[in-house]
Amino acid sequence: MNVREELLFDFSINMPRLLVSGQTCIIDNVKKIVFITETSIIVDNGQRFSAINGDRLRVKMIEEERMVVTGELHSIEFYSGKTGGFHEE
Amino acid sequence: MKNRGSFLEHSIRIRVEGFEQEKLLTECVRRGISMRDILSVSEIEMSLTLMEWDYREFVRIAKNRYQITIIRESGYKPAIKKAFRKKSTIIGLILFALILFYQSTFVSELRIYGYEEFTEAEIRDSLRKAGLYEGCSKSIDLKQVKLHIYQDLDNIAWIGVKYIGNLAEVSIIEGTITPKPVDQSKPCHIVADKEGFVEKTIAREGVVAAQPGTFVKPGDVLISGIVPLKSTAYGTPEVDVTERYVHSAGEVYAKVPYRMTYYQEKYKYIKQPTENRTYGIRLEIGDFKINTAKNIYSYDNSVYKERQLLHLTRPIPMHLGFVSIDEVEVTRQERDPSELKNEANRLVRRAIQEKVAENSQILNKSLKFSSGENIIGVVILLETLEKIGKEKEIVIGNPID
Repeated sequence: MNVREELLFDFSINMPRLLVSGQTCIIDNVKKIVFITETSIIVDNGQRFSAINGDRLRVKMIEEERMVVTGELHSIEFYSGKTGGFHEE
Repeated sequence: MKNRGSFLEHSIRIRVEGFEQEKLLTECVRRGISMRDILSVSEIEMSLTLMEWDYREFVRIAKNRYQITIIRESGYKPAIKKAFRKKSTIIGLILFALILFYQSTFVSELRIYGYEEFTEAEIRDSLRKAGLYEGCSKSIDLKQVKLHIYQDLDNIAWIGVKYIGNLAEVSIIEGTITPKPVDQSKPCHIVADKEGFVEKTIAREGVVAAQPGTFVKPGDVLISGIVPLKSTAYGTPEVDVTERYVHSAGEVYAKVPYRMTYYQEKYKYIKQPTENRTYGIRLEIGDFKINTAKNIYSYDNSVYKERQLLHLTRPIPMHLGFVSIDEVEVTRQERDPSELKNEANRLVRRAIQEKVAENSQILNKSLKFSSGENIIGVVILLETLEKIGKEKEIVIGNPID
């Protein structure tokens, strides 16, 4: 990754950014919480949506646009629903 | 970023019941409210933790669309508040503080530094007599303690007592009593360091000043360092006698008499117990002292016995003992002469050990008994052959310093 790409990555404040490690997932740039249950959490990152599917999901922390989720993670999905998709509010 | 403390300070666990919980959470994120442990129980119920100072804001956002129930409060602030709401806790804390303060007024450890000739036990014993021991109050007069040590122990040049918390540090500097030998290049006399009759003088350098049979006192010149010199130089009158100063050397042996008086009990006392006995408890907590047995008994003669049950120096000095006081009848019996003689011989041995210098030869020894009303005086006479004499520098003219 060159410098330009790194800068673009760092300043993408409206794009999904996730860090997954074992049973923990850190989601940055959380603008809105769209859906929250024990098996699925969907958040709006500004331009796109991120969805985490799993079991016994629990939000450990929400602070400063960062969400820490723990539980048994099964899958992560991204939606681009801002231009008329079904996820748009 | 606002610094509003942490969840450890004061946090509230709440249950939120109502529809569209996502909207509520989103609003909280927008307004910067930190949340922890969000657990979605069902579509209409969730529980979460937030900081106490965000709770009011959270309620304002929720309005009347959600039912909010506080499940519990955590953090050290509510814990302290809860603790101080109980009277027993306050009393306990006050007691704890009082005990801490009380135990800080006592010496719990005594350390002694700097001793060389004395043993630590000797110094500790002397300090105990002066009132400084493990468990004593720190308010004792240290000047009196120092004065007692100077009087009780010989050859103490300096003593310092310092408190470090409950530790008392005693520093001792012992004085030097060994006289410095006079420099070989300087003239000196050999003078007597104790009184006695001169027996033999071996002068290697200097002039014999004390002939055998002479009685000398401390400071008397035994071998003089001033040697008379008759000049034989041409032109000098024959009668003119000058002096030459030398560094005297030699040994002087003298018969040194010792006279010591000791006293012994004329009678030995026999204690015959009667059947009367009083029991009690002795309790000491710091300066507070009580002995129940001593307050009750009324015997003329008694024997006091104590069995220690508890002895503490920390956290506060405490002593608990079981006391028994037996009444006794005291009868006296004159001591056997052989017993007195054995005791006197023991005193002689001790006197020789204490008073007579090492490498001395004991020439004569005699004991004289004199009977008093209830004591017997024992006069010990010793005659020893000892090497006396020490170097003393000859100072010529008037020294300025």
